[in-house]
Amino acid sequence: MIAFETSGTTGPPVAWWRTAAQLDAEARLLHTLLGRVDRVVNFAPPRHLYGRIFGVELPRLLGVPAVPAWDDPMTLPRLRAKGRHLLVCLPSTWPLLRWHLARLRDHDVVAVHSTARTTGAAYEVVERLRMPALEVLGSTETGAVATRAIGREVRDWTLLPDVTRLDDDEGRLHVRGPRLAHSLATYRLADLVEVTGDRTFRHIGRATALVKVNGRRCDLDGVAALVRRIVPGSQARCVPVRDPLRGEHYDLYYTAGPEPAELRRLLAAAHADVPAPRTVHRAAR
Amino acid sequence: MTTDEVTARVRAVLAARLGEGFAAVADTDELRDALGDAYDSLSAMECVTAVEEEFGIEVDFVADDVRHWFGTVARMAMFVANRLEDAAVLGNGAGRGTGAGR
Repeated sequence: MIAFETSGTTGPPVAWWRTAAQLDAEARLLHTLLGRVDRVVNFAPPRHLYGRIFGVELPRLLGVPAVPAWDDPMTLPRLRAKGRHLLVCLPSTWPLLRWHLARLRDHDVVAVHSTARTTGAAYEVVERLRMPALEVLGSTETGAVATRAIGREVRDWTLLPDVTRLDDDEGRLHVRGPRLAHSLATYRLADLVEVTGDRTFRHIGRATALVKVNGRRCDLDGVAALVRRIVPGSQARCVPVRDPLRGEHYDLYYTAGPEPAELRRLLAAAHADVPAPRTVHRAAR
Repeated sequence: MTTDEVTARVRAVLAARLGEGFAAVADTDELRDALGDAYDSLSAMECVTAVEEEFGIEVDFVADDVRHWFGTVARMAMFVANRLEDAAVLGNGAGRGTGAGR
């Protein structure tokens, strides 16, 4: 069994356990959607499920090398002249690929994206390279749930073959399947969906105050509560925003206490796992 | 465009992205040292993109030492000024709003 942790914005991390067979099954399923892969360039840390599946399990399954690239998001590793490269992308990977379009044109590449919303840079790179690219929706608790091609006009997600969608009164994506983390019979994701077919749906929002800052989960209500604890007497609110580099982000507003730069430092000191706000504003009451 | 004008525009671009702590950073301060995590790799990438858009220039991630040139405001301004000067000599009209293609 292997544990993957989800960060608790204001509390301890939670471990979700998966078997080797579950990881193998997920890699096999996703491989069928990607086609031939001769080398993997992995921008997703393998301590998280997405990076593990594409950066460890898939290369093991195929017997191909994987190049770690998650430690330096500003560098595109050297690509080989021959063979098909799979680029395992986070939102922040796409601007890097856009900077290297001329270099990438000389190579056979396919991309996969997950963890947060796609950005304009992703669409631009896919269009300009005319490369196959797959977006994966899932969570640490469920594993990969659904996929779709990356494209400005593509809206519907299709469930993976071993995933069953269950009805949900609140419109949340509620699933059952053999790859759920140990101890889970079903799981309700935070994602609100509109069902468009037997096995297809559209993503229409989130049921909770959750954003994924370049893939890092952040509970905005939890951050606001943390600020209120750091600065007693202050009101605080976090507002989700789109971010061209990180996919999703948030701005922090508060009403009293230290200067914004100092509050940013206090927040980082209080909880290092909380993604830093994009901007911090002290608002008039 | 004078170096002071370039520097002022670079500072305006960075201020919009680096937030509250940036005002106190001197042109020659290393941004990583001065801002800590607020100038991590992703923030640096964001600033490179913003500077490209502001001045209509392109950064070459293979030929340019991005970590060096985008480490301080002064070096960024020098980098931009050099690019604008090159563009003027070559007559390709690089400047604000040219949207140079990649």
